[in-house]
Amino acid sequence: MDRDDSQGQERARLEHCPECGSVEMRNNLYFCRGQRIRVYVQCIRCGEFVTRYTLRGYTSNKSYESLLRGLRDTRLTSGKRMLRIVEGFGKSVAEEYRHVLELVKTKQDDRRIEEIIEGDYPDSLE
Amino acid sequence: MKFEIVTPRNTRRILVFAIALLAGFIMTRLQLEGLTDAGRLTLGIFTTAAVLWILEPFPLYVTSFVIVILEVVLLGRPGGPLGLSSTGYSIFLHPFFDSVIVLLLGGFVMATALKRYGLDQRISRAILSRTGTGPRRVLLGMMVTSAFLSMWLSNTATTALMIAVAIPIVSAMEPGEPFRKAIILGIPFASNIGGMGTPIGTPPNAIAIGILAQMGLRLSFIEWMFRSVPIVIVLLIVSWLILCRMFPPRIEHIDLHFKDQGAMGRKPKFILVVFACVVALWLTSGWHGIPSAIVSLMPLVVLFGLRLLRDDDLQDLGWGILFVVGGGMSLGIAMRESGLTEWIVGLLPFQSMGTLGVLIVFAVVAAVMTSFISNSATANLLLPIVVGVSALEPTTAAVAVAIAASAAMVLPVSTPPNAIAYGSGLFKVRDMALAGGMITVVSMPVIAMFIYLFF
Repeated sequence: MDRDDSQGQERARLEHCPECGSVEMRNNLYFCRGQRIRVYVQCIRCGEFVTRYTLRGYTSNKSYESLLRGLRDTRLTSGKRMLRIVEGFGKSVAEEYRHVLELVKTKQDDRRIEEIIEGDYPDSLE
Repeated sequence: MKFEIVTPRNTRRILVFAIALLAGFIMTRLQLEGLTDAGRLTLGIFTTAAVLWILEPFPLYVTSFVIVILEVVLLGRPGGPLGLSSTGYSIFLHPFFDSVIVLLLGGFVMATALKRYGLDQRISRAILSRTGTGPRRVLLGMMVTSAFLSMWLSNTATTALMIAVAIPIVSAMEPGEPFRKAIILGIPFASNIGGMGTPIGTPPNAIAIGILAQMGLRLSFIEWMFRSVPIVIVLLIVSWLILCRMFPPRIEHIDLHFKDQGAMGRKPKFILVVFACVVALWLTSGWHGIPSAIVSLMPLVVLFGLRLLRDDDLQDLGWGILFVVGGGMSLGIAMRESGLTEWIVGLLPFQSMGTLGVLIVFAVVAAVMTSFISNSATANLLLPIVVGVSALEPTTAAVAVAIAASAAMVLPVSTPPNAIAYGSGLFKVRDMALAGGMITVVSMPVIAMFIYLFF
């Protein structure tokens, strides 16, 4: 992970249910071969549909196995670069996870998630 | 909004870039006997490219574009040292959509489809299910599977797939079992070796074919395989023997259990048919007359046209590698047009060495270089020179160097497959250096002898 370029721009946001405002969610994963995996997020408290994410990458808590899955469609010709990815992967995921938890406490963006995505990350819209 | 572009990392990148440009500039100022102005400028470009490809301040494909910019600015201007017309600079751009780039593109499309529909896993399991349970046979099965897959998929993807298959197997063994290392090391070694087997197996092969084509020498898909597959088989057997010897198994049986993947659906079956047709057409291009590059466009049309692959698959096709190959070929054009290749070759004392000696020297140089820098960069820097050596037939020289550029097994940084395997934490650098070093040392004479005796 390269956080150098994002200093001062980092924010985090907890997902809230648009109906009841709860932050307790259930992820329902939809698999269909040939299509990207989609995650349908449901509010645990009221059962409402909250949002849908389309999965582009997946990292489990077994990070080396996740890395291997991710590398199955990677074409890289530099051993140095691959070694940096391999050595940094597990560490960077764990570090980023802790960092995000901290950000949620200290630098939470108050905008709704769709406002953040529409404003700053329009490429992520479907 | 505040954007901090010049971060500490970028400062280092800019510094290395400046060093590379300075090194290139110094080379252009040297008074070298027998070298024309165009040759001196090209030597500067070559030096800058070499520094950037060795130190890697940024991805390798960026260097390809630096090469093109320098070529056009220094050599390609109207009335410049090469005497090109106002549109003549396009000779430096043509390699980026050369037939060999299209050939690789088709290979990438097929590989993406095989992965997307789980066919890579099915093929690997189909082969492994026939190996039996003896540890040495399982290792051989793993290595044969890795080598076969990496002839068609990227070496990186093959290693990632096969290590994922191997992890549950080695995890079931005692922690002190030496054969764990044999299995985990055998996969990247076999992937590196298998990549030698086809023109699309690894970028150095494509670079060699592309540079030969620039000289008017055609090497078809099947002609490449006739030369490389015997070497692949011998190196696989040698590597297997070395690993079995260095890490002898204490266990007697390895049980291979795979989850049932269920019956194959219609789409995967269709993909297999397309794959088989494309490979058949690649291998028979000499008979039907359709160039391999044009055959490569067919799966692109079929798979994207029928929406079996998505638009974002096209974006993820490995364009960076195609640009690395294009950059190397573009550098080759500048070196030949400027007379730099001829000048460098004239400096090399090859007259008294004989063909076999020259082949061994180049194979060793390629293997040493590629132990520390990317095999594509090695091929990009060496191939334009070796095809100019008069003691060697260009095709022989190019094939030898391209294959030797994939024979680096010594360090985790030597190739992406080595780095992936190292990430498993199941062996130490020393283990890879010992086993891989032996394989690399044996590979050099094997490659040189095979090419000398049979081609």
